[in-house]
Amino acid sequence: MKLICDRPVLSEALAAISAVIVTRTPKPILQCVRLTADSDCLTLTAYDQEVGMRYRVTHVEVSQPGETLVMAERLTSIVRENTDETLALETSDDLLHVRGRNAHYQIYGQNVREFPPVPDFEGEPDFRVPMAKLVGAVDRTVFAAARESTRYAINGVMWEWKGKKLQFVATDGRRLAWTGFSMDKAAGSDGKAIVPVKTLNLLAKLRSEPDDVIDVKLEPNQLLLRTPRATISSVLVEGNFPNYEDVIPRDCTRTAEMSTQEFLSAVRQTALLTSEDSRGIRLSFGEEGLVLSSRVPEQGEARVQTEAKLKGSPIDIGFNPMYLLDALKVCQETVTLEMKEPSKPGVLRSGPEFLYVLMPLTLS
Amino acid sequence: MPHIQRLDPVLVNKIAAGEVIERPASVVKELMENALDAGATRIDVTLEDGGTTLISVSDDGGGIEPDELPLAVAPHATSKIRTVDDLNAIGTMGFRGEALASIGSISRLRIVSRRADRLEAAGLECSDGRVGDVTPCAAPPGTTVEVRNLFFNVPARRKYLRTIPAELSHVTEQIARIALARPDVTISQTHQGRAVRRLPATTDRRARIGDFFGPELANDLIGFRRQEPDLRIEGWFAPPAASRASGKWQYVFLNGRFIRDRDLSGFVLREAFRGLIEPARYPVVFLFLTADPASYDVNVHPTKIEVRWRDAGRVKSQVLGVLRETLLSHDLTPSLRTQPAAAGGTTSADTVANMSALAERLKALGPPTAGWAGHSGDASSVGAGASSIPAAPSDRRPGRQPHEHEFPLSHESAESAHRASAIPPESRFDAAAMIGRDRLPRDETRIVAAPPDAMPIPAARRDEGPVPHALPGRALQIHNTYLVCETPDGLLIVDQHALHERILYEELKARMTRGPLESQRLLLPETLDASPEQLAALEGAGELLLRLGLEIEPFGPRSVVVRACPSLLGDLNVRELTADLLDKLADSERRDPEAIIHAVLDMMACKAAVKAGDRLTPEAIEALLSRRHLVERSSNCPHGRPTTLRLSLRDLERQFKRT
Repeated sequence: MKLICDRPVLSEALAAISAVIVTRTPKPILQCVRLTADSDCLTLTAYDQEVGMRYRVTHVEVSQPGETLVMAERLTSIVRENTDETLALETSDDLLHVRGRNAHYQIYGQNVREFPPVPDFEGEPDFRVPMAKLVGAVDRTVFAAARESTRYAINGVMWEWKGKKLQFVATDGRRLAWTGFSMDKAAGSDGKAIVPVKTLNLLAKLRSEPDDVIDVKLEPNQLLLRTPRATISSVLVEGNFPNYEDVIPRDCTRTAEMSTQEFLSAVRQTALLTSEDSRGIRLSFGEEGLVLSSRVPEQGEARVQTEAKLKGSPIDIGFNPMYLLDALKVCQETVTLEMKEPSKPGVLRSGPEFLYVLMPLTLS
Repeated sequence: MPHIQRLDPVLVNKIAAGEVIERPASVVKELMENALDAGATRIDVTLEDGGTTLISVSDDGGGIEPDELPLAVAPHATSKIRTVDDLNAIGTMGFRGEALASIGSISRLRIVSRRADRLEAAGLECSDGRVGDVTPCAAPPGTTVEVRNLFFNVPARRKYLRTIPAELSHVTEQIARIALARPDVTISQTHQGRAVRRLPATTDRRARIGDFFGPELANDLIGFRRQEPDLRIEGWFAPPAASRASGKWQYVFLNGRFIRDRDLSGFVLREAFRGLIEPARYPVVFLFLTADPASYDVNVHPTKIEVRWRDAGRVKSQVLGVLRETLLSHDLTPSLRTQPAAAGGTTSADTVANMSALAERLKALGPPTAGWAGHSGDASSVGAGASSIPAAPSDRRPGRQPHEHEFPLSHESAESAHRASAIPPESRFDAAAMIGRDRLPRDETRIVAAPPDAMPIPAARRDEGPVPHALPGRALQIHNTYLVCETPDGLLIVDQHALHERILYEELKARMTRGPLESQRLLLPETLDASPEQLAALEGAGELLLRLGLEIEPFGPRSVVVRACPSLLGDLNVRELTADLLDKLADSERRDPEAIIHAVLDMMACKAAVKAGDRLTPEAIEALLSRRHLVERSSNCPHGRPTTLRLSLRDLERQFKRT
């Protein structure tokens, strides 16, 4: 293998691919990145046996195709620290030579044949969506996914596609985030998959151009995603995702409408006086708007007033401010909060594409 | 069918002996108690083969008239009580008039006694229940009882005697019980012709404890005393770090008699030391109670080891109260032992010596420029300490051992004196002086930064010995597990998880007193399996669960559903907590809600605390250490493991051979 490569592009590719690699693994080979040079392209591959990524770097001049396998961390830092426009990569026996203008590195390579095969995107996608829309949907849901729940199925975001409709749901048992939108073209076949949080974080970090489109294909226990630069393969979270339709209340009797920014700021200010054992803030909706209050015994109290348009009778309800902030950060300009009783869930809506159910706290 | 007939008196005595005399130790106990009842000031116990061959107890008591000797070995004959009224106010160790008769029926017994006003002694032998004649003989005033070949005529009992060392240890235990109860009596113990133990009479019980168990134990003892209207409580306990694997080291005495009270030694001691001692370990406690004989009944058990209180609940709560108060007012941080235990000399004493040495050095440097405003006993808070009011050196009082309370003898003021002396004035003053000289410029901001209103409890009760331990200087995290910080007299090593756990536990506990915990309702209720017992236990636990911020309901015949859990658990595992809680609910026989709450808080604190291996930011370290002194019993985690070890300058100097 012998090639000359645009260094910043290679550096970005290595940064993206490094996110796949787990630092602690009993298999050192999984800490390597595989470099494959074809006639016009260099492909980087990394895999943790659950999630894999191939990243195509096209800013290369390949003079001799070939392959090598090197420790990803080494190569990444070499390429990152170098300041040249281009780097020359060349293999000789077990060695990978990386040459810049004033620098020459030799890295010992591993046997490429020992690297496990990584699933690739083959055949037609089930559906195609603009990448920006998909990443936006991930942003609006992934924060609500459980991280290490014993209820395994909620440790991911559920994707569901049916005809033109595509929707995403995540919950950690205390709140639930939903988002959905219509695709231009109906999916080839309906499907649903619970996608691990790690995969979604990889996807969200990928650089994309405004017009980029992503291909999605579901295989048995495997989801494949293809962007113009990268292909991600991911195992799915097994199990049955809870029936989220059931937990979205439809019988709320009160609705408050607020400016997202003002509400978010008020929640932040009120949350300053919470503690580990007094996490909650009280939201008092009344004629004159919304009063947020909090109290830490023996330390102090907070009271913040903000505007809110309430439909229905006044209500006091407690929430964990972190749960509110998580959602408010991804809301559009205005939000509505629907409530029924202080012990019943609240529903936060912003635009037609976002809905968030959160359970109240029983304030002491 | 055999006919019913009256039993031969010898047989009756043998049967009675079965109850009273189990082994040589029982004989020693009965004979020593007789000696005490006879007004002895000296008791000599001589044994052969652990008492199986010979037990001889001689005293310098009042002696027995020669013509009363045959009565002494007759059943139900005694000089100790006469009427039924006497039974309600027993002031002697024995009263049943059974012991000598019983012993005489199962051994070869010889009594030699001389009243002080007589010129000659009289002797009497009794073997296998047959009483011989009274014969004149020579002996010093007092009584000597010799018991040979115990159980020679009761093969079944003889068979169950254990090895000589085992029997000897039982005898020693009995001697200990009497020796501790009566430090005013000189006691000696001889075994196989060798003097094993010689305990000179003393007025100081603590000295007697030291004589018996060795100075290492005695020097660390922490004293307590309280006078209640009809109960006087006094005693000593060893710091929790000196706990034992067996409950044998808990001595409870009532009016000079060793008693075994399951409530006192079980419940009260366990409760008082809860969280300070690991499970399955027992505190070392010497508890001496003085009560009106009419307030309890000792005639419950033939060996009188059990008593029945007229008002057991009050006794329990009074003892618990004084123990708790004493524990709270002491710095229980164990010292790191840098010397092998065998080297003797205890670290706490060294610390004291070290403190006074430093004090001397400081005094030589001139009067301190700043110090603590409060005089000894003044409830000045930590915040007030920062006010830098110069303190006159004349405030200094003579040194005291931090572990010892010296009480005024008038009991009326005992309690207030107890509080006042909770902080040893000298060490506190000196500590302040050290801050004043070397450390104030740097530490002042930190002291001031601690808002006084964040410490609702008077510092005087909270302070643990030398104050600056609560205000550590620089701290260093090592192995992401321990925090090491400098103190004026050395350094502290803190287990970050144990300390955080203890702090969270105390905060939770304090939080519980202010009302139910804040509760996060669940969007997806958790269901989990439950046994019928657990479901049944759940029914009565509604209020308890509410206080904990939990909402758990039965869900079908074999499962429960959790609808809400305490918010401070964050993302912690609700299922695990609930499963543990159900176990606790179903298992606890008495369903003591406090014990369950304790267990649950314990679980919560453990799960929420920083773990060993968690890297802490300097701010987090400072926050953790600064909360240390706000918490009661910060020296141990809720499971009783120590949170903090102390290494004094003196220890370091010794290790580096600087002294």
